Amino acid sequence: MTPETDPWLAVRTAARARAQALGLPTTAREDWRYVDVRPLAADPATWAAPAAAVAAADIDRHRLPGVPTLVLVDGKVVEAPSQHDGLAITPLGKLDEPRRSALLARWSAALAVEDDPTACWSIADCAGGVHVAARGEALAPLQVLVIASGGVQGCRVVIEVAPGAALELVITHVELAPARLSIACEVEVGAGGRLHVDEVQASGHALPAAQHLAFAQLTLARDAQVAWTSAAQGGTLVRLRTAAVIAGPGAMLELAGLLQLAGQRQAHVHTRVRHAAGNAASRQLFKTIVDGHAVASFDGLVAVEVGADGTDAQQRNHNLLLAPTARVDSRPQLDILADDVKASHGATVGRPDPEELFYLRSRGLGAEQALAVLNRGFANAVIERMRNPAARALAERILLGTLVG
Amino acid sequence: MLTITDLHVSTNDQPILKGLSLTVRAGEVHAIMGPNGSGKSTLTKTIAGHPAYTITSGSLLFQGSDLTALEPEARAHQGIFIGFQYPVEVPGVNNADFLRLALNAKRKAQGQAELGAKEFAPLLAERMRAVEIDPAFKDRQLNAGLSGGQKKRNEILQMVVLEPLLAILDETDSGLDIDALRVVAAGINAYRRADRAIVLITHYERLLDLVRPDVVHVLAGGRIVTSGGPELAAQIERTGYDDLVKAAGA
Repeated sequence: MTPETDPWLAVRTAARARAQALGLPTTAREDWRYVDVRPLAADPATWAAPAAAVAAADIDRHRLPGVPTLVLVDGKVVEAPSQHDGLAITPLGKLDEPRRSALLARWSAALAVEDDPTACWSIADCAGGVHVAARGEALAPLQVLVIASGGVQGCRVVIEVAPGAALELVITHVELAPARLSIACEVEVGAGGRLHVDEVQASGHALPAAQHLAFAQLTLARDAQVAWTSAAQGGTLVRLRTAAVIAGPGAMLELAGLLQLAGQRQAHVHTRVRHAAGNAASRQLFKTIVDGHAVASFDGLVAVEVGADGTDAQQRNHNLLLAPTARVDSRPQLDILADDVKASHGATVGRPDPEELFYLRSRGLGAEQALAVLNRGFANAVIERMRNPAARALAERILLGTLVG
Repeated sequence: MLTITDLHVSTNDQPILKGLSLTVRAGEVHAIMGPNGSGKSTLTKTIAGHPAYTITSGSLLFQGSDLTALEPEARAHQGIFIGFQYPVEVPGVNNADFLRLALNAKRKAQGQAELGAKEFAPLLAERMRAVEIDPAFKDRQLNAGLSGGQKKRNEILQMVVLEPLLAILDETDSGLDIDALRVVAAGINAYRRADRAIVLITHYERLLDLVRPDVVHVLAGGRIVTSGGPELAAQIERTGYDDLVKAAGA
């Protein structure tokens, strides 16, 4: 098939052209100011080739207990639960009309104004993608296991939560070999709908060479509730970008994230929360633990539009520096154009409290163990937001397991 | 059990303890009283091994061995416990998890098997009952969000879980209402044993009415200026420290 006959190929080609026109990000651009962008310049041809097939064992060992699994390998659906009440899972290539045309039109429109080449890559390099639609109270959680087997991969996950419907997702990202994954989740939550996402970047420990470029686009209608909690261990380059639009009153958006970085890893959080409707709330809590020569940043903006009165927005970024050689940049920002708004933001960067460490040691904990306990306590406010026990256990094991025996 | 001889301690280059000597034997309960700024908390933190306190001269022995080179955790493993005047808040750390970690650290150091969560739970429940602490406490954060009195009771809970040989309780009675004081005193009395020693640091006689000390010391100007029996505490309650301190020439 050619771009002329295959509309998916056509939009991928357009995305690639857009990415090339934009060029690679540089630190001269505000959005990438704190990021070591050099890994992005790696020639895609030098990446390890993706696997022709992924062994069942490589999939199985990343399944969470007690949760049905939707498996995407290198962007393509390879397994979906045969039946999941209230949920329709469709590979994008099998999307029917008019949803297919609507999605393609949306992508084309977004590409025309997209200024982030990595978001363009999520389309350009996407060989598949999936559409997940919650039509009822789909209370049983679903694991979305995103596996990159190597090479340069893109993935699009379109999530629709119908008015009044509920969906609980656990998204786990696994790189089996050094890979660059650009993934975008497009999320629309209808009036009164609820979405709860626990997300874990699960392979950073084994593979610090991974590049993980994530983009979550969220739209919340009236009374919609979204709670999205991410945990990541960083890599050559990990960037978690979120752009949310609160489009209806009564909506509640909760974004939380935990980064635990050591060695030479880097990870960056970039959030843009736009309150387009009033009488809605947003909460952001991002915490970072950095050690070694790791580099992390938080760049967050809450924008409250004209007329969005009654907005209640909160943005918090707390960072724990374990080594003087590690680096954290924090940039919480507010842009408020409405009159009656409750908005607060704050950031802290600190070292482990010597009095807390001494107290724990006076009770018999060794210096390392005391520090691990403090780190765990620091991380707890984010980890406890994870609703799914298996996701929480995974995040604890991957991010804190090396800290607490 | 604890032998302190002519101890001089400084913090921030300020000498605080200036020749303190104290001997505490197994089975004894000692009370140390003294005006504010006399060095009571410096003494406890020095025994615990706080890095901000430097011993400039003198000796500090526990069961005949020098403590001064030991890390704080090694002192805890040997059986020293300090109930702090201001227990530190450690947000996000679960009380029960912490108690199990602390007990296991000590058991490991002593060559004993560590306790799993299932083995630890009944032990913790029994100790919480013994010191009349609400079972919900185990799921609270370590001191974070607790009232002053609750923190002090939490220190006593830590003591009965960790079972030290020497417990030094620094103003454990302050911030407690009379009912809480009775519970804490009962916990301390139940803890008395021939092989254990307790040092109470306090401003008030009321704790000493409930926990009868064998010896009462007055600490002033960084030294023990006088020692006596329980009647010394009663005298302090009546006349204050000034006369005693003057009479001792401190």
